[in-house]
Amino acid sequence: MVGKGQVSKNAVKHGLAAVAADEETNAIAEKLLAVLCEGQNRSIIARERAREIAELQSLIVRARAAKAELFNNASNEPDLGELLDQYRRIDRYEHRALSRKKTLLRDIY
Amino acid sequence: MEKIQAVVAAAISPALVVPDDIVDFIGKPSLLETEIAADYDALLHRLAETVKPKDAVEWLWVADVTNLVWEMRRLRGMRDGIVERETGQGLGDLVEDILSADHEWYDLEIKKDRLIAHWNSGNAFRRKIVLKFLKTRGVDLRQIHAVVYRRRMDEFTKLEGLIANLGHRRDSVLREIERRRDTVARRLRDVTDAEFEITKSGIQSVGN
Repeated sequence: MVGKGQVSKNAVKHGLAAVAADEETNAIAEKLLAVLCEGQNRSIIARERAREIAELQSLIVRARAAKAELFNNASNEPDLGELLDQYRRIDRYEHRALSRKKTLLRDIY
Repeated sequence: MEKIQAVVAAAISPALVVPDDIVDFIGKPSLLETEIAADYDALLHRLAETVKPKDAVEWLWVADVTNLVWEMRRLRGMRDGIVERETGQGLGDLVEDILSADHEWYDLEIKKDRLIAHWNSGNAFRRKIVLKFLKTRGVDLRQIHAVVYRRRMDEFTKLEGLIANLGHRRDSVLREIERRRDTVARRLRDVTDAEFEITKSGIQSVGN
């Protein structure tokens, strides 16, 4: 049974708990806003949503990189069961981020 | 051949290249050392050709679907790799079961090792000999694979679970594209209907 403490440690371990640097996220969010809301009213709410989508996208990209890294850094004869457990833990973060992104993208339009 | 087709397809339909303003946002694909970036790009291109993304949001979805499909392939490859690697050992276990009744142990070991070596050589002719022998004992490849599945049940269960989850997510994203297109189509219909009503009432007022 994995406790909440362990779960949060997993996030830190794989760099998924880190919030992207503010300037970088803002820049991506602005770019995203420009792309998504082209010719539309860019309200403060839309701006906030774009920012959140940018953060989520950054998390998704990091989760995917962490998953690939797991196998790229594995030994020649890895414990596949253990690797897949870690893969699944990272995958949960990605899944949640994807779901949230889907909802936000629905709202932005 | 597949790569050549992808290059040709990209050359004849440049409109389906990921737009520059989306490329930065979706990031580079995270690949295993054994995976080839050109194959990933070819998959993205094929999916884009099928979905025909109309704007930035749809491109984001296509990028997600590509990644999900890619990961499914990756995990299926791992599953198939286990089956391929372990079939020799599974064959050994099965041979031990079916021959132990009518063979002395040393004779059994020699026969078993020879069959495993034949199988693990990867040579199609040698494998055929093994399968032919097994057939005389009423055994086929499916039964050997069943032994492999039993031996590596834990990994297979985890892999199948992950693959199923990725499949659900892929379908969910594809439904989202459909849903969005329906919404856009409905809005367009509403706007067109409203325009029509305005035009009709305008014509009537002129007529009066």
